[in-house]
Amino acid sequence: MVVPAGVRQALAEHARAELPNEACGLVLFEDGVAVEYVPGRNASPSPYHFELEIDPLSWADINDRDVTQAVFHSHVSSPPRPSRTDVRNIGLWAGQPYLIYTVRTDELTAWRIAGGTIEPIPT
Amino acid sequence: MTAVRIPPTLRNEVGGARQVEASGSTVREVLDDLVSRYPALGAQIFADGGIAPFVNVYLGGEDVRTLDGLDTAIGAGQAVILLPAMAGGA
Repeated sequence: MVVPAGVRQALAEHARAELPNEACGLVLFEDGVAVEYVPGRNASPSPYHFELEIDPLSWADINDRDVTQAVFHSHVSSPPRPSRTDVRNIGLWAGQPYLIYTVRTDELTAWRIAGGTIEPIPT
Repeated sequence: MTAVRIPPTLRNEVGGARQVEASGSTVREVLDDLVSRYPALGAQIFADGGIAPFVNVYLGGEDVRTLDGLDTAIGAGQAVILLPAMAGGA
């Protein structure tokens, strides 16, 4: 998966703007290339937690587009690797792309979480 | 009939459809009708007699958990939207 500089900048800026709490949203991909960042609202604002909220009508319209979606959230300072909470809560997103950005180190990583296992996606 | 908009993560359970029609006057009746035709969907959207924790159900842009839950009445022309419930953190 490729995240071009413009999209990467958008999600990094959102993550910094939400400090001291985690930010979250959706990244939309076409043919493996990120084309858009859709910022969400963290409905459970915390430095250690996110609960993704996106206008449901907007998200339903995104669902009807021919794009691949990745759930995104930021970590304030911990490494950009899925936490036990992420693995436990993956739910319907099992096997789907999952992006994590760490503000402290400016690192962005991609993963798939399924069946309790974590697999990195090359970026 | 009520339109139910299906997210990509649940489309395997409904034969790949983006939207399906279901009958009923409440959210529960509509989802029950849907599950009667697509049984695999049941385990994804229902748990312990309620809405499963990893799915959100919206009507008129509102999370039905903030309305009357599964007993929320569906008005004419309203669509039900199913979306993944995503939470996690460091």
